[in-house]
Amino acid sequence: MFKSSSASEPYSKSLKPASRRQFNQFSTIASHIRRRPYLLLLLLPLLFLIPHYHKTPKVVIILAANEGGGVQRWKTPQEWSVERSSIANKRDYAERHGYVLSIKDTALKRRYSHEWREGWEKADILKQTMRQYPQAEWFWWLDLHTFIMEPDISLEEYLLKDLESRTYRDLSYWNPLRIVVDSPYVDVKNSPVDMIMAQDCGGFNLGSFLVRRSPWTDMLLDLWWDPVLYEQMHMSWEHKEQDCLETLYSSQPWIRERIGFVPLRAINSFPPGACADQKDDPQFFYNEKDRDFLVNMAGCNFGDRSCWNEYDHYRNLQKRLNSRNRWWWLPGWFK
Amino acid sequence: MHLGIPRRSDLRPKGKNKPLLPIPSALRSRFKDYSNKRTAIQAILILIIGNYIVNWLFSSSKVKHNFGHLTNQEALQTLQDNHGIYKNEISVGSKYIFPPIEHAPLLRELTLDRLFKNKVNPDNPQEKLYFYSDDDDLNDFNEIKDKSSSEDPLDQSLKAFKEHGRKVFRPSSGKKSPEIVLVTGVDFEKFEQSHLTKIVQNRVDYAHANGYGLYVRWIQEFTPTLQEYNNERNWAKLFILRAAMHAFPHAKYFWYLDQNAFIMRHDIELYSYLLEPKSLEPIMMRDQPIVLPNGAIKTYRKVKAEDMQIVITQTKDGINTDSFIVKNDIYGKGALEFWTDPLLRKYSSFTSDEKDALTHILQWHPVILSKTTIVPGRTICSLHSSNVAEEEDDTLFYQEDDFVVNFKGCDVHHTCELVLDSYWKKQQGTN
Repeated sequence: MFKSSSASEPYSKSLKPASRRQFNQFSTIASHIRRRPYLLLLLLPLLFLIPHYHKTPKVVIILAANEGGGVQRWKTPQEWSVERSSIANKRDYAERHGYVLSIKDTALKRRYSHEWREGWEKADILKQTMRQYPQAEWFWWLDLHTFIMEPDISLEEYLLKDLESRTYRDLSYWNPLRIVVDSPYVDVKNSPVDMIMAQDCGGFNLGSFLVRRSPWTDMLLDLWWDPVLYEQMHMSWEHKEQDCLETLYSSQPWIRERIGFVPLRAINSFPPGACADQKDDPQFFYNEKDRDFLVNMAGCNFGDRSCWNEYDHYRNLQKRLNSRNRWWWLPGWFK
Repeated sequence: MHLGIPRRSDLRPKGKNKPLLPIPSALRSRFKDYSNKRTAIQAILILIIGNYIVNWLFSSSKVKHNFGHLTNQEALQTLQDNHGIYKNEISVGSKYIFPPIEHAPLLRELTLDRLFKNKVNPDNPQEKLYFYSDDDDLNDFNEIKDKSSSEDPLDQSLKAFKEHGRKVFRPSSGKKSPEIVLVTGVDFEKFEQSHLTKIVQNRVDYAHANGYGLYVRWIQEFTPTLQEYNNERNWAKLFILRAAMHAFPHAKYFWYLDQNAFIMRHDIELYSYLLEPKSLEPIMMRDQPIVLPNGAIKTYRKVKAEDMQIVITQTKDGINTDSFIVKNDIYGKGALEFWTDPLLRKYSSFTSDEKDALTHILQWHPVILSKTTIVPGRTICSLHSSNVAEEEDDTLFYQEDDFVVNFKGCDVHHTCELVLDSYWKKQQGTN
């Protein structure tokens, strides 16, 4: 019937009764439900059908555990304790902000044995982790003896936002290695930052750094170790992959272009005792008042320092700084 | 009724609902609202929310959510300008950047001693060390000021030589950058002016016919750099190529064609002929050993043509770096800069031949290998052979109507001029 009328008459006329009829149907359903609202509860189980999208983690934290571990000696109970609390600290942080924590074993291995690629497992681990988490964008490498002091700070807000304008794009501000600051063919104005790093009293510090997934990073991780470079330099590269990166940085503009430097205390504060030659320079050392983000007890097992004592100190300090006041539920002015 | 001293009972509330304390009647109604549940809940909510707001205000002042207080804002503002080897550059509007070839005999007469600052090598008194000098008097366009405005051709050629490396293509607004730039290094000590003219003219004609850019440099301009690690002159091509990438920042491809090669076909457009993925796909040599005849490392089997950053050919001895194409992006630049890293340049088995360094890179670095494709030699680098091509299906040696001819090894027999001349005549005949 409907078909024949539309064929003989202009469609505008046939449209009206049809639409009214549809609305009539809806209004009967609506009034039915209005009288029995409990029927809506029946829809609740269907909510599980809605696909719930997990926020894919943007940041992967790579924690190098078991540093130098292996068969040479037993780990002491104190070392176990330090490792455990380091892992717990990062796990808590990652959970709080929806990041992924990936713990990587850096035990001594034959393929990175003495005088052969030792130190460069960092690049291999980064490559492997990038394959493991194909959705993640940033990869934050942390050595074992680091401790996040301000777990409330999110990386996106603290570090990854406006990166290009907030990081140093050359070494003019602090240059302990005396690398030539100005280099031909470096175009920092049009390049993104693909690696965030800090310099300590002696140069680059790879105890805590971030890389972004990018073609640049692919290339860097691939070129970081080269047998020809290694053969010539392995005797003088005391800090292995770190010195190698310094060498590459100084000679290759494309690497320079995309490294953004932050002050050491932004991602990698030292405890007093590190950098003994410059122990009065406040730019390296953890400052409780400024609530520095992370403390790196690098080298805590050398000299008269003790990893366990330092760790204990910072763990307690963090607990104290971030503990909730007993009267937190009272209005602020009561405190 | 007694109205004098109140009795005790007069002070007590009269009814059950009377308040203990006398409250003014204006307020009394408001206090009564507490009995209203809704108001009570509202009050508690306001208290909690107010508490959170105050807490937030207090805590945000304690924990710093950025590291701005640690950075030196002034140092952040100063960003380095992108410059080449020379800081003061000359902007050129023409997309053909090549040195005046007629200066070749004059430059030879001047010798390197007058072209560069130099001093005697303290370790080897026979040898001189050459240095770049960036201290010439420059005018507003970064050109070297004429001191005496002399007409002496020697002075003129010296000035042109020193200025040539500063030239970069920066078109006036509206003019577009060429997509492809042809790059060549020429050696005025090795070849006569007539020979060099033929080579450069060949490049200019080809670039002009296809709307490409051209970047030609004297190899001698790189003497101080080559000298650092006793590199042979063929290493200069890499520095020239990197300078070309700086001079034409918006070009997509750079084709390095050595001075011992000659373009025979000006009608072949490189992009549609070779670089377009659909042209490149069928001729990519997959699973091809880098070191011939049977090296262990081979090009990847499953790579896509559009991912290729370096296009290169092989001779029977391995990689041929006389003619190759590099894409102008982070992979191309990175590979080129790694190739010229001082540690590779001074490695004893690489100093004489940059080709060995590339062979090494391709074999050790999968990321670069996966972006590199080897194409049959006759596509962009047919080899000249004194004999007529032996086999029909030969992919290496020049045959009639090939694109480019490469006189590799002509300098060993000192036949470069002769060979070039024969091809030049052949080409003049056809065009």
